[in-house]
Amino acid sequence: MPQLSQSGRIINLVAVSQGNVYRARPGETTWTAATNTTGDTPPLNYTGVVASASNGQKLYFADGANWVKYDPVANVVSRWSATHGSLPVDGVNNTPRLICNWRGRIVLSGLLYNGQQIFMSAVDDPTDFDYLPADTTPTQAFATTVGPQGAVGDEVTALIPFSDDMLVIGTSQEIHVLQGDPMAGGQFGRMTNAIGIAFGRAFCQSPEGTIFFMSNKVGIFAMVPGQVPQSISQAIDPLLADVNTGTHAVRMAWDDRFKCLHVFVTALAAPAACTHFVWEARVASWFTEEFANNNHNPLAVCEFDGNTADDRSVLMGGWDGYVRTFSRTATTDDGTPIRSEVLLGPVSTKTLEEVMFGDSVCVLGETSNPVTYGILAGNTAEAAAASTAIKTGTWKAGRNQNTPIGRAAHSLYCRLTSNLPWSFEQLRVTVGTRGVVRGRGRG
Amino acid sequence: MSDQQAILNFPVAGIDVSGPFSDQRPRQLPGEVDEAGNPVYGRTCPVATNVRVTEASSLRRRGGTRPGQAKYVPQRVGGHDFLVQELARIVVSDASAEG
Repeated sequence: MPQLSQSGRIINLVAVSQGNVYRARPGETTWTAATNTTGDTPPLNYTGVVASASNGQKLYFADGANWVKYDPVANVVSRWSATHGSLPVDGVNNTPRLICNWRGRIVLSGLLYNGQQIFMSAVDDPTDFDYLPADTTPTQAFATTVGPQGAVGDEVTALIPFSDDMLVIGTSQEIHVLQGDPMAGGQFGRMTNAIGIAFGRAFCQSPEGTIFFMSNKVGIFAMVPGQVPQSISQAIDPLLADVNTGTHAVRMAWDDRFKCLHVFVTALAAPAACTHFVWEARVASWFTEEFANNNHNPLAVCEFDGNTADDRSVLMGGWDGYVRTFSRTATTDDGTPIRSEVLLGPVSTKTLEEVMFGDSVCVLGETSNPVTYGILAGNTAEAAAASTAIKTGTWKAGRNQNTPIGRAAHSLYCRLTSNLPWSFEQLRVTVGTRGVVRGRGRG
Repeated sequence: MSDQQAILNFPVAGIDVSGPFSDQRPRQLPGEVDEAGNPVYGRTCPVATNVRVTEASSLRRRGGTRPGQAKYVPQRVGGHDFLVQELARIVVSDASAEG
């Protein structure tokens, strides 16, 4: 038999659309529909957001309405039913919306009308939800409705399996950690009551183990369990302040290929213009991202880790049914130009004199596409940033010839824009002042 | 004041809209020092959309556009023009690795 994988593993990408489950393996160019044996068509919610977690080489789903599991070997979707005890539902039979795998247990929460409770299957048996077996064992199922630890007391919004010893539980206003297996003396501890975590999967983890999450107050935090979460978004908090976590889904993913943290903020109702955020880890710097095609804004993301370089990337599920990834060689967003923009500056003086841009020399990368520059001027930096360019032009790849600017104002910016990929080396500008007297004479 | 040469580097320290427009301060870059052992600072900016410090084509830290998007699987999920509700990875054993 030919050896299909030296590593002895096959990584399956599983997607849900129109409530149906599909599979693609690395290198495959088509999706294979799973055989549905649940008796329901489709087996999952037709349009709603779906969550999942793997356990024992099977995938278990939480969509708030259905009990479904997926076997990637047989490529079969089947009903997830309990062999012992019963699967948790609320008073009107809603099923959980939050799910993770921790210590070999499937952990569930997010019942619409019982959102503060957490349920755990028996270890290595996602069908065993018997919380009160005849013989108590450390591997039996657990629920906060039964266990002596009690509920966390607040609506659970995130289940984050940090390590075998720690399950981080985000709630709407607090963050707790379950330290140790609850059937082996594990206890809840409140890490903070100052912030909670946004609902769903507004978190991810770096390879170093740091958890990144969006708080209930829409700040981005880095957290190592046992320590107080640290805000990393002070620089962009005014931009994040407009995020509506009720109408938008927040998805976060760690991109190991480009060493950055993605914060996707996607409207739930329909494809719409959205602003996402990316944090480059090497320099701890924030940038905004916009996809000109609204269908590209993802509600589903996945940190994929196949065997080849192209298969180790963040995957994004769009509104148009396509799964996309960031690619070093892609010069567009799957055919749609990428409009990029950056402001350099402001250039001003401490004495508030007028400054003048004289000559300028811009150096772009040797293989860069051209960029359009625009000089923005204003009586204040704020006015300049919002102004229309008073001089524009184009800089090409490599070292450009001297460009005389010849414009003066109290504050000046240089704006670079392009719809094509470009790279930047530096911009040298001759800067002079027009004197205090002239400065007084201008409104 | 006589004319001076100003170097406008790419805003390596990214967007910072926390302070006044007129005080767009550079930020110390984490863990970086110059040859003399002094902290290294990077410029910040008020607007930086679809750009990255690590420019996509060369992976050099010089500034440029972010990487573009490409289809991971050429076909739509299920063949439908319909939103993808969930993406997940699941690993299974490959018996053929035994040879």
